[in-house]
Amino acid sequence: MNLLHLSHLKRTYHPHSAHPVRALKDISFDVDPGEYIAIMGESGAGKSTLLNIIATLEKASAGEIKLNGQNLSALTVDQAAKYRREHLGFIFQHFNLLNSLSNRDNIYLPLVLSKTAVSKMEKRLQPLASSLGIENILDRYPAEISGGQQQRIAIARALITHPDLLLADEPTGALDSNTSNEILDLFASVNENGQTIIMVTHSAAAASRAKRTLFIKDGRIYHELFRGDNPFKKYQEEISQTMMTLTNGGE
Amino acid sequence: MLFIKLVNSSFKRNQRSYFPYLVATTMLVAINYIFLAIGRNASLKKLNTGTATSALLALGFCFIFLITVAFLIYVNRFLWRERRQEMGLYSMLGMTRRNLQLLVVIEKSYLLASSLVAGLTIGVTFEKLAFLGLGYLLKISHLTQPWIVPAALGQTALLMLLLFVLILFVDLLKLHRLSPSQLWKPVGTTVKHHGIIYGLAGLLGLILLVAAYWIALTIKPRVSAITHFFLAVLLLTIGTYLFFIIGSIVFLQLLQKNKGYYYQPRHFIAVSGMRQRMEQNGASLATICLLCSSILVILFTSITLYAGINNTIRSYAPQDVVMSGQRLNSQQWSTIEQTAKDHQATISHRLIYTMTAPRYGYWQGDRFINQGNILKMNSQTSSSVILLTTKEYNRITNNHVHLNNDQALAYSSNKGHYGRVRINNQQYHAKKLANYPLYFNLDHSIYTPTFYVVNHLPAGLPTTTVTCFDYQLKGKTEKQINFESALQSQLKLTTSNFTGKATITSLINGLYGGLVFIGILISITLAITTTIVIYFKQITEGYADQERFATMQQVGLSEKETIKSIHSQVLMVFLLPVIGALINLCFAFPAIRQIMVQLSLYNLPLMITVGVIVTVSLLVLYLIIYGLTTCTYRQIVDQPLTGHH
Repeated sequence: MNLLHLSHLKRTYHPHSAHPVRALKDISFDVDPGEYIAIMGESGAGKSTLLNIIATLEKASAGEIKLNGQNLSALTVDQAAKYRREHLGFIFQHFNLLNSLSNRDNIYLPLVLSKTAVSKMEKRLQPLASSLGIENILDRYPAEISGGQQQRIAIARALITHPDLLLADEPTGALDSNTSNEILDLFASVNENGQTIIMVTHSAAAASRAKRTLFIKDGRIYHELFRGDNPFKKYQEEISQTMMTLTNGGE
Repeated sequence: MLFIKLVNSSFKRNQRSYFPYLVATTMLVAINYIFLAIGRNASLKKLNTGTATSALLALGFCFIFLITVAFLIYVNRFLWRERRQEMGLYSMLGMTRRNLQLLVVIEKSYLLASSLVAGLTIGVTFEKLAFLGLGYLLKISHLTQPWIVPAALGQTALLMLLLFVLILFVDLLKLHRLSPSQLWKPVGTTVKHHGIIYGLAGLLGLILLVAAYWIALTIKPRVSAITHFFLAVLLLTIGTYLFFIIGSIVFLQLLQKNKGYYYQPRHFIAVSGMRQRMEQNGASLATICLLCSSILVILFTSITLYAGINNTIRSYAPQDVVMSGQRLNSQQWSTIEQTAKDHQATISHRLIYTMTAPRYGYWQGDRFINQGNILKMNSQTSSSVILLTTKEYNRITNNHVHLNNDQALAYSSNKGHYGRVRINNQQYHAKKLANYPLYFNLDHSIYTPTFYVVNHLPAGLPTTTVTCFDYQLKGKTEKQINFESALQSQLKLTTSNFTGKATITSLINGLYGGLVFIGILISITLAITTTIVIYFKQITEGYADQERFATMQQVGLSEKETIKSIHSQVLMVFLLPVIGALINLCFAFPAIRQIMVQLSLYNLPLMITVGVIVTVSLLVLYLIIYGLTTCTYRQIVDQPLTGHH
């Protein structure tokens, strides 16, 4: 069975105004458990809108979206919040950690919200912290650690709920290339352990680490590439080529 | 010119900060002008209480000017934080330091000019009204005041100019010490790790608060009460700051260490959020708390004083004219008759009786340690006693009381000494009298006397004869005062031996009316500054919460839960100072009561009524301000966060 199923998804902003903005025109694709998908496209192509809809932060204007058989369009705002914290994990470009909480408490946040016992939270954090290499910074505050470290904390926060789906929005956008590679390595190993990931990115290098890349243009899926057994370098070139054609408006 | 354009656009962009700032400075300029203008009034100075009122006005002005200075410096810091990024941008775009300085100078000149023009206009308009109010409180109708007092205008303008030069200088210094990149960098908020010294300081704050409250609770009605009160205020101020800044954080840290409590959804967000808020707002909240406390105490004290004037007057002058000392001879009586005739006054209700002259001292167990007359008072003095014989008592009150030689009747308007008492080696058993209509405070002293009725006056106590009468005189208060002063000078009596009710009434009205007037103006000033401090706090909170809002929702908190949690925190942060102020008032109450007692005014129901009215009005006003500023807060928080993609 598909983990995520999207069919003919549409999203129009200000539909009744003189100039409605049609951010998503017709999007259909499926995601299987264990997949690692990158979504690429130019600014304004609709990437963020798509991610927000999958994240239940926005609702589609038309079309169907199902996660694990649950129709996401049918959720009320409050149900969506609960669904989000139980089934989805988020990683953002700017980490979005709360600077009033220590790193440990930032990671605990979603679990605390769903009223998890302290002992269970500690048990879950331990293996996660050692695999992410953040054991030594847990009791510091976000403002006291580097960007790469903050992103690791954010990854821990996303993974500690054992989400069905990990959503990443430009996760390396605010990091230098070395740190970016470290984070992408972490993503790859997380995916190898069976975690499904959808990542929105501008960077061909980041997209080349995913198993499949979707290209979006003008609110539609424009193209799709599979890494298969291609070496990273060659696959990355292929992605860059596709992006180039996409930008130049060619077929 | 480019610079003026830039400053204009900056005003427009930041009008959310500048507008309330200008309103506040305008009001402060107006109040400063009102004080200076009234202080210069010639007809006020001619009054017999003129010197006292002028001295009060001068003191009040000092206080208000200090508030103005503190307020301008505080708000300037806030505006600077808002504008430093803008300055940084200009600097990066190639403006030299000189250009930036010019910008600051233009900005400050604008602010000065507009608050002066608006403030003086309002000041001139309302000064007349305030002056009429003062006249009403002083119960004097023949005061005149010109529409504009140029000298006060000039003085206000000069003082404001000096103040603005001061804050301009501060800004320029800040500009000078920062590099462009420092200006540009947003001020990050970090949660600090605090060591043991920090905890100790928090503890010290608590100890100081307790000490202040203890002093306030144990103040005795002695000369030293006022000194003690000021010591308590000093401790309270330091204690409040330490407690709000440090104590609150230490407390929240303890909560965070309690995992079972802390890791509950409601407590988790509230405790961590409160901790960050207290780190950033501790000092402001302490300031708001102290400002509210001052409003409460000042209004409470001055209104109680004013409302209790009749009590004070009755205890100073039970009848229209009261004389003490030697028994008047027939020649003096004919002088009185003659003076009354000259002033068309008719004399009635004559009453002459003898009692001991008031003795001052203190109680040691049941023994009254007699120090002597009012001039022998020292810091140990705590009460005074007057004795009169049963015979005199029965005669003047139309009673038929029989006492044994070891019995006494006692009456005091305040807490008196009953039961076993020993005065000048005579032992009595004193029974409390429910009422003594002729009770009065002969010396107008701060120690209201206790009257003892006994069969035989103890040996060694000097006696005095009290002569009282009422009079009827058609005409205004001035005529009565004239009559009374004519009587006093004809009889060649000193002020300590002669009290005229009309005279003392106008004197006390003048004194207390002035106090109330100044108390109200100071409270208005404090209220304005408090409002602005709260407003700016709300704006700062709003910007900080905007980000928190977004993140919490992404992590899976519903919008409703987010709004609820953040608003309850904001409400808590804003209720803390007012709760603190109420606690302060409760502890100040006994101390104020003692000072009231010293001012011969003690009326518990009245004090409680005034206290409740003042408190409720402050609470209502506070919540209105909170509600209004919360609108601005919501506008900020509801703005979508920009710059994330």
